[in-house]
Amino acid sequence: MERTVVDGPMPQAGVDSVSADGTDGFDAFVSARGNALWRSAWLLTGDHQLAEDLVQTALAKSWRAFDRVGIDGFEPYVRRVMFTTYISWWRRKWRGERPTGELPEVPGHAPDTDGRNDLLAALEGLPRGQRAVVVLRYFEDLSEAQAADVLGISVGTVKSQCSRALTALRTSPRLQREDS
Amino acid sequence: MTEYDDQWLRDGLAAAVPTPPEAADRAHRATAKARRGRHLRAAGILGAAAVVVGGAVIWSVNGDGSDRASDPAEPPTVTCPPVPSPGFPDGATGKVGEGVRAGAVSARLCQGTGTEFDVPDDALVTGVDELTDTVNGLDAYPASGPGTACTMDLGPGYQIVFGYPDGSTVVVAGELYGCHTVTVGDDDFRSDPEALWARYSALLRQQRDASKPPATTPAADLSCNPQPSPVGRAADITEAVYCSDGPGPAVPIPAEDLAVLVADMQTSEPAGITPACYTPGRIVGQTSWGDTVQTSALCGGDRWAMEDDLAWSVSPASKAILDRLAGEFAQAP
Repeated sequence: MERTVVDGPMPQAGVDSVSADGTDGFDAFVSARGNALWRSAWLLTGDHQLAEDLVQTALAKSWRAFDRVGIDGFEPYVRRVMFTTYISWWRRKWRGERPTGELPEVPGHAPDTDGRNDLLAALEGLPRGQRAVVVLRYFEDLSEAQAADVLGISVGTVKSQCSRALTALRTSPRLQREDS
Repeated sequence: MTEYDDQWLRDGLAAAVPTPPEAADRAHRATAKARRGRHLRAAGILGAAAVVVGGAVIWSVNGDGSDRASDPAEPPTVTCPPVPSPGFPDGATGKVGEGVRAGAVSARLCQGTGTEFDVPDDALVTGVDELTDTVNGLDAYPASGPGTACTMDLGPGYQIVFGYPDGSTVVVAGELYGCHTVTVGDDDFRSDPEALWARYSALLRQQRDASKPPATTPAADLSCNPQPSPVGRAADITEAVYCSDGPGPAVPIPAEDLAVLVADMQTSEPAGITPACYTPGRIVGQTSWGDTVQTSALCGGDRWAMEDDLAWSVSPASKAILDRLAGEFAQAP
């Protein structure tokens, strides 16, 4: 199976806050990499709108650092903010969820809990830290050291979290069907 | 894990992710969100630092409607209405309505639709006119249309009940999530619930600064999953527990240790830029006003996040106390 994660290229280094064509460098970054961030956010949250809000929250937290960090370092910066926001702040601030039945319909979105998402259902059973490690290592293809840097934890912790997560996924009833 | 398993997981994750939705204005919404947050923090800090003009009569209203008034000419009782059902501003016309009429003598903060928070026991009775002006000065909510939608970012929802001398009330509802609406009455939709939330908190803090805390507060129910107060300040903590990750129960903080920590918290300064990493450790406390407050360790644990985007730089003495509490938490059955 081939990876289908395709997004626009990173804006080139040296992009100013406002480029020659009037496009803000931050806007250009979001345009090029926003969907990639959204995909990781979706794997963390399992929900279209929560993923969008996680991305927006991470971007909002990072926006003022754009000029200081620079275009080359901005994506790792945003990713770090997004994952640590997911692990720490998310559970405090967004613990109480609203009933979706009262919310406006958003056309064009497939349900998040259809049959193809058994893997996601298994992911939902993981603690947040393990889920984040799995997404970083096996979706974003980061090394153990890079994942540790994103999460602000040691490489050893990444290894142990990853090991526990894989054990849990391997034994998840949600995934037994594919193995049989 | 075998190499086969490894590839299976990579492929499975890639296949599971749906196509991202159209989000053409994602950057704009993110920067707007950043500006809203900055405005909220600035308003809170300025409000807390504002000079208090005293002479006001303080009264309070219990959640069950019984008054504890200090003025014989008591304002009418104001109680919290039920939490409304989630709504959607599909009646927004893009124009402001009549707003809150002048003459209110109290304003009580109540739970609204959204994440629950610790509702203050006391009602606002000073600066009510300023709060009225704040509501009436909010911009109209943009007119809704067929394509109008809101994200489902979750946060507190609140209601402010304005009380009048004749016993009538006007309810203003704010949603710090989703559509971010302020609704005055039934059909006057405004923007910027964060500004109103911050203004109420600032005014109630001013009122408290000019008065004394109640002689008694409800018994503290300090767990590791608190619903923090929007107006409480950690420097007013009188009782607290230490929490961390894991199933262990909250560790009570001895009074002498708490005194050291609270005194040290007074040195808090604007947090500025903080490294993004998660460090366990929280203090959950109850203040002399009965508020539940929480402070959390920032990346590395040398600084802790306080209200109003302040950060507490932990002194060596406090660090020793916190390290000991963390050890007790880890060893708790």
